[in-house]
Amino acid sequence: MPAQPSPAPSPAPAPAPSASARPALRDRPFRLAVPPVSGMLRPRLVLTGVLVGVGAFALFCWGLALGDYPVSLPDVVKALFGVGDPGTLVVVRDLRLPRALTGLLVGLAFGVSGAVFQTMTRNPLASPDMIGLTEGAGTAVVAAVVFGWAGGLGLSTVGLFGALATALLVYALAWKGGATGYRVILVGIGVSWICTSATDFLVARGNRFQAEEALGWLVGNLNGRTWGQVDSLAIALAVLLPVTLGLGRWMRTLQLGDDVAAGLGTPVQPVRLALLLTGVGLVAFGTAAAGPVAFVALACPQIALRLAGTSAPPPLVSGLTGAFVVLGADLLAREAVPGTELPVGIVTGALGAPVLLWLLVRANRAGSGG
Amino acid sequence: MLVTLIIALLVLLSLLSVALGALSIPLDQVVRSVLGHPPSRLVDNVIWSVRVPRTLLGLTTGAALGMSGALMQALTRNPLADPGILGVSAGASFAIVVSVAVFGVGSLYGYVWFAFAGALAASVLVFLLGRLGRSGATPVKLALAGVAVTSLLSSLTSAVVLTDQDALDRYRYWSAGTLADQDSGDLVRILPFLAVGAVLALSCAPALNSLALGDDVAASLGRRLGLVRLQGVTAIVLLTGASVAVIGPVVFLGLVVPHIARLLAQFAGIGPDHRWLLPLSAALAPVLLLSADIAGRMVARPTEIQAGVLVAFLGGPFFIALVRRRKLAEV
Amino acid sequence: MSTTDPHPPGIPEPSARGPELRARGLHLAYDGRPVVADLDLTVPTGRITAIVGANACGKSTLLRALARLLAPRQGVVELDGTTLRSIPTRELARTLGILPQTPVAPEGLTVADLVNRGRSPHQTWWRQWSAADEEAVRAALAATGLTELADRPVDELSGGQRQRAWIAMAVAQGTPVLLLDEPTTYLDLAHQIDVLDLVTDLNRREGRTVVMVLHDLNQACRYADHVIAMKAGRIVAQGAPAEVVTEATVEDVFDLRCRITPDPVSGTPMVIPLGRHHHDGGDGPREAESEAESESEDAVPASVD
Repeated sequence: MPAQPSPAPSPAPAPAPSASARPALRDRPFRLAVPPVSGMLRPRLVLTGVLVGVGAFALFCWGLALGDYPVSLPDVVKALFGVGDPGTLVVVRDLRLPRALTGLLVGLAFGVSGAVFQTMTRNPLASPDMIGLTEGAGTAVVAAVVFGWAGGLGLSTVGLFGALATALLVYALAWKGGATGYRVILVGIGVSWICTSATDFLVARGNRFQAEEALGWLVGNLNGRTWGQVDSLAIALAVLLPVTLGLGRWMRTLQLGDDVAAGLGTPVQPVRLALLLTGVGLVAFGTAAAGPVAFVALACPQIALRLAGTSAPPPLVSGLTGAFVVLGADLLAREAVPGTELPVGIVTGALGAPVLLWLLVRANRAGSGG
Repeated sequence: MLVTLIIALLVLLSLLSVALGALSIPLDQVVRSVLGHPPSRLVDNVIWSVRVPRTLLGLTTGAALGMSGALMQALTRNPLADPGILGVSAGASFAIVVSVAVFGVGSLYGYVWFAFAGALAASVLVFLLGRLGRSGATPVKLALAGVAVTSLLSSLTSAVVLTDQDALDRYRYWSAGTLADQDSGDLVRILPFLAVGAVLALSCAPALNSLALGDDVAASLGRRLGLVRLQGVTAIVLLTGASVAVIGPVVFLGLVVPHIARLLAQFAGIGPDHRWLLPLSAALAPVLLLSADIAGRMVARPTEIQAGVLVAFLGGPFFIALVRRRKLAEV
Repeated sequence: MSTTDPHPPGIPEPSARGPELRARGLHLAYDGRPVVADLDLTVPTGRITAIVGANACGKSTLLRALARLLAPRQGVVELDGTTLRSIPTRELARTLGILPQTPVAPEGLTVADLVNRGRSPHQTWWRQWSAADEEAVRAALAATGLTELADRPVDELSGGQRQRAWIAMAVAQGTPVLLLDEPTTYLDLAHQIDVLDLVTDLNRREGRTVVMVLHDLNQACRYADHVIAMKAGRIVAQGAPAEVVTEATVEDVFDLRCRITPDPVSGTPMVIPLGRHHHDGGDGPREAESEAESESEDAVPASVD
C-alpha cells in the first residue's frame, strides 16, 4: 500500500470505525478553566462502570434479602439506613451484612489486584495466585488448623501473614540486582509448588475434621463471616484502592513496555514495586477474609476490559466486576443446591473455566491466539 | 561413564529402598534374600511382598513421569511445562472422588482404573479444546485449555469432597503422592500402558529434535506437526495417567528432572539431543523419586512423609536456583 | 524551545538554541559484559545524527545510555552540562524522547490513545487533556499522516503505519531531542523513506535534535548531517557523511570492501558493496545487472558514473 507521508486526503477507503468508537459512546475531551482540570471522558467506560456497579449493588441487596427469614428488598434498603423493626435490623445488619460486605470487598480487592498484575506483566493470564500468595496463605491456614494454632489469632490473620510472608520470600528469592516481573512469576511458581505439597502433606496428616475445615477454607468461602473480617478488609481497601488508582497514570505508560515508559518519564522500578505491593496487599487481605476465591482475579479484569472496550483492564471497573461476580456466585452457591451451602470458590471456579475457554476461542478467531 | 554412574546409583538406591524402613534390614541380608537364600521368613516376607514391589513401582512410575516431563517440555518448547498441564492430575482426582462418592468403590485398590480413565478423559478433552480455532493444537492453546479444564475439575472435586467424608479421606491420601501401601497388582496392571507410552515417546525423539528449531523449520524438514503432537500427547497421557493413577500427582518430578537431564547432557557433551534426553530423564527421575521415598521413610520414623511432598521440597529449591541462575527466555 | 528556521542540509553548524547532549568517558556493559569502552561524544544540537556500525558493535547500547535507559559503569552523559542521572525523571522526559526498537502496543489500543500517551510527561493527575496536549496530538497525527487512522487500533495497522504511530507518539512528547533506535526496521523501502522524510521534517521545521541508529549506510549519508561510525564499542570516525563514509572506513567498520560513488540525487556518498563475486569492471554485464536489481530502487548500477 502506498505511503501517505503528508496529511493530504488519503485515497484509501475510509477507516472502519472500531467497536469502541461508536459515535454515541465516543471519547470526548473535557476541560475546565477553573479549577484547571481536564481529561478524556470515556462514556463507554463510565457506562460500564455504572452498570456493573449498580448490578453489584442489586446482588448485594438481594443477598441480604434471601435466607431462612426472608426480607423484602425495600425493607433491606431501609434496614441498611437503620430503619425498620428490630428483628429485621438484627437479621440484615448483624447476621447477613458481614457476609455480603465481605463478598463485595473481596470481589473488589481481587478484581483490582488482577487488573494491576495483568497490566504490570502485560499478560492476560497473569494473576496474583501465580506468584504463590494464595498457596502460601493456604499452607499457613492448614498448618494452623492441623496443629491447632488458630485459637487466639483466627484463620484470617494467619492467612494474611502466610500470604505476606510468601510474597516477601518470593520477592527476596527473585531479587538479583533488581527484580524483573518475569523472574518474580517464575520463582513464585516454584514457591507455590512447595507450598502446595506442604498443604497436601498437612491435609493428609490431619484428621478428617481438620481436613474438612482446611479444605473448606482452601476453596474460598463466605460462610459465617464476622464484622472483624469486614473491618480489616475495609481498612486495607481504603488505603490500597486510592493508591492503586493514583498509580493508574503510570500503568498507562508501563503498558507500552519498560523502555518506552522510562522514555516518557515513568519511574519504572519504583512504580513497579508500588504496584506489586498494592496488588499483593489487596490479594493478601482478600484471601485472609474469604480464602482464595478461584478465578476472580484472573477472569474479572478480562471481562471488564471487553465490556469497557479498553486496551488494558480498567482497575476500578475490574474491581466492580469482581464484586458482581463474587456476590452472584455466592447467591448461586447458597441457592443452587437446597439445604447445602457450597463455598463460593467452587462456583467461581466452575464458572471461570468456561470464561477462560471463551477467551481462548475468541482469541483464536481474532487470529492472535498463538 | 554417565550411564554407568546412573545405573550404579539406581542399583544402590534400589538396595537401600529394599533395606530401609520401619524394619531395617542389613544390606547383606537383602542381597542374600534377593539371591534366594533368605535369612528368615519375616525378612523374606517383608522384602518380597512390601519392599520390592514398592521399589519397582518407584522405578517404573518415576521413569514414566521423568520421560513424559521431558516429552512435554520438548513438545511445548516451554521449559516450565509439566505433564500436569494436560489436566491429567485433575482428571484423576475427580475420577477418584466420584468413584468413592457416587459409585461407592470401597476397596482400597479399586479406584486405580477410575483414576486412569479420568486422566485419559481429561487429557482428551484438553487436547480437543486446544484444537479449537484455526492453527490446530499449538502449545499456548493446549496450556490454556489445560488450565481451564483443571480449574473446572478441581472445583467439582472440591464440591464432592466437601460433601462426602469418605471421598475426602481417599482424596487427601492420594493427592499427597506416595509409593507406600500400594497394591502390587497395580504395577502389573499399568505396566502395558507404560510400555506403549515409552515406545511412542522414544520414537518421537528424532522429530522432537527438529521441532526444537520451531514449527516452520520442523515442517520444512519434513515433519508432520499434527502427527508428532498427537503421538507425543498420547505418550504423555499413557505415561502420566497410569503413573498418577497409582502413586498420585507427583508431576513436579516431570518438571524438574528434564532440567537436570539437560544440564548433565551438557556436561557429557551430548547437547540437546532428545534421543538422549528422554532416556536420561527416565533414568534420573527414579533416582529422585526413590531418594524422596527413602528419605520420607527415614525422616519421620515410625510414620512416613509422602514421597510426593519430599519431591517438591527437594525439587522446589532446585527449580528456584535454576530460575535465578539462568536467563530463561520469556514465554 | 524549538527553532523554526530551516537549516540548509549538509552544513553542520552547531546551533546553540537546543539542549546539548554529550557523553564523557562512557563505559557501558550489558549483563556484565563490557560493550562500550571509554567513549566521548558530543551530539550536534539541532542536527540529525546517524549512528552506524556492524551488528553488536554497541550502537543501541550507546543510544540507551544516552536516554538513561542504561546506567553507565563509568563516565557520564550530560544534558546541557547536567549529569543525566541528576535530572528529575519527568523533566528529562520533557527534553529527551526515545523510541526503542520494535515496541509492542497492547492489543486494542487506538492510534489516538497511543499518541496521547506521549503527552504523559506534560500531564498531571488532574490535568490529562490540556489545550497544549490536544494541539500536540493533533499536530503529531497530522505530521505523520495518521489523522484519518486516529481511531483505529494500532495492532490492526500495517507495519509502516504502526511505526509511524509510534513516531507520532514520540513527536507528541514534544522533546527538543529525539532518539530513535532503528526506526526503519521491518519496513519496506517506500516506508523507510517515508519515515526518514518525516524525521527530516521534524528536524528542519522544528529544529529538533535527532539521533538515530540506522543500518543502511546510504540512507544514513543522505538523511544525516552527522554520521558516527562505531566498531567494537568505539567510535571509529565521525563527522559529515562525506568525511566518514569512505572506502577505508567501510572496510574497517563492516569488514566489507566497497566502492563509494556520489548519490546521483543528493550528492552524498553512496556505498556499493563488492562482495566475493563482484569486482569493479571485472564482471560481465549479467552480474552487474543482477546486482543492481538486488540493491533495489535506491541504489543505482555502478555504471552510472
